[in-house]
Amino acid sequence: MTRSFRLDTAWDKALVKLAEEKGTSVSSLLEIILRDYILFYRWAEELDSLIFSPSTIKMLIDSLSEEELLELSRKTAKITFEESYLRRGDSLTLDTVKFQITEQMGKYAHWFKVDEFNENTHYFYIHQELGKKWGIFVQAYITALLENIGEVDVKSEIIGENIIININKGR
Amino acid sequence: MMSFIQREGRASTRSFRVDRALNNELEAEAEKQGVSVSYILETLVEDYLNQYRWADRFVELTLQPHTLNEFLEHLDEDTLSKIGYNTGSTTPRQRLLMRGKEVNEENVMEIIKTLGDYDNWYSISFHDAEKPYLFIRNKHGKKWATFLESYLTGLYKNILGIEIKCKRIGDNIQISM
Repeated sequence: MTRSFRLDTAWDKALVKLAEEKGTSVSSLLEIILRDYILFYRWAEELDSLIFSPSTIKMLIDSLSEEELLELSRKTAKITFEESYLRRGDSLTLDTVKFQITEQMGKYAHWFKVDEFNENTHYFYIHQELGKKWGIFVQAYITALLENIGEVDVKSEIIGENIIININKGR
Repeated sequence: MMSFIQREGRASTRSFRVDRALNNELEAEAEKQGVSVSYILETLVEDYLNQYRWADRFVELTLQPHTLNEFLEHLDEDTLSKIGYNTGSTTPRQRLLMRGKEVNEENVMEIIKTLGDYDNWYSISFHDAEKPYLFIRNKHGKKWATFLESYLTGLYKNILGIEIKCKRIGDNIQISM
């Protein structure tokens, strides 16, 4: 369907220029912007989420011990995830957790890049560039998210600074 | 490269094709917020042009307040002060340069505003009195105030060459030049 709205000419011109730079149409660009808003930014706004440069996060994380990171990642995983999915009106299922990992944390919140594989074995391959301690934090955080569902076995390992999270459904 | 695009005050009509499910979500969101769909779309375009696209390009990380508060609880004030000063002295300059913007007072003020309006670090008001000042309202407690105070001190001193005075009012901060 087609939707029309009034737009300040400064932003309209900027949008046209940006669409040209991206080699796409203004219509396609607007649909992407709207999708990103519906899937992520409106919830980030509602949850009062904060945005940080990677270097700031790295400095904060590197100032904590590994024991502290493990403790606070497990604690925050449960609370922040519950807050997110309940606010969105979702329920606690494996699909909701997968959405949290791949879309919310991976695609939009930029915690890492993630690929999900589900053929012979089901696993997430997580690539991150903020160092060893961020890897430890993320590993514990995602393990806690998945264990929260109560119906999966989770095994994870760190390879270099990247993480493999194996999940086995039907515990 | 475009950034910090200001409103011209004249409007035109823009049309686009949208998936029906997405449109339904948009209409539900407008109803929930008690605003028009047109208002949401125009605000969204402004936010995207001035912030979201940059956050995406520069791989900036989003944290929920609870996660930040847990970090703060585990870090002492000296460490937070050092991290604030170091990152305040460097990241705003990087942010401007990555946007193709000159490092000058006007653009640095836009960054300070962005930290409040989009990054949600604080609420900020500018007061152009006889002695101008900024007033920063913070809702993450004393340790976050320490971080912010050091961040802004580092920013002003090392990017603009200006010494500022910070006065703590509860967990809020008054900044005078």
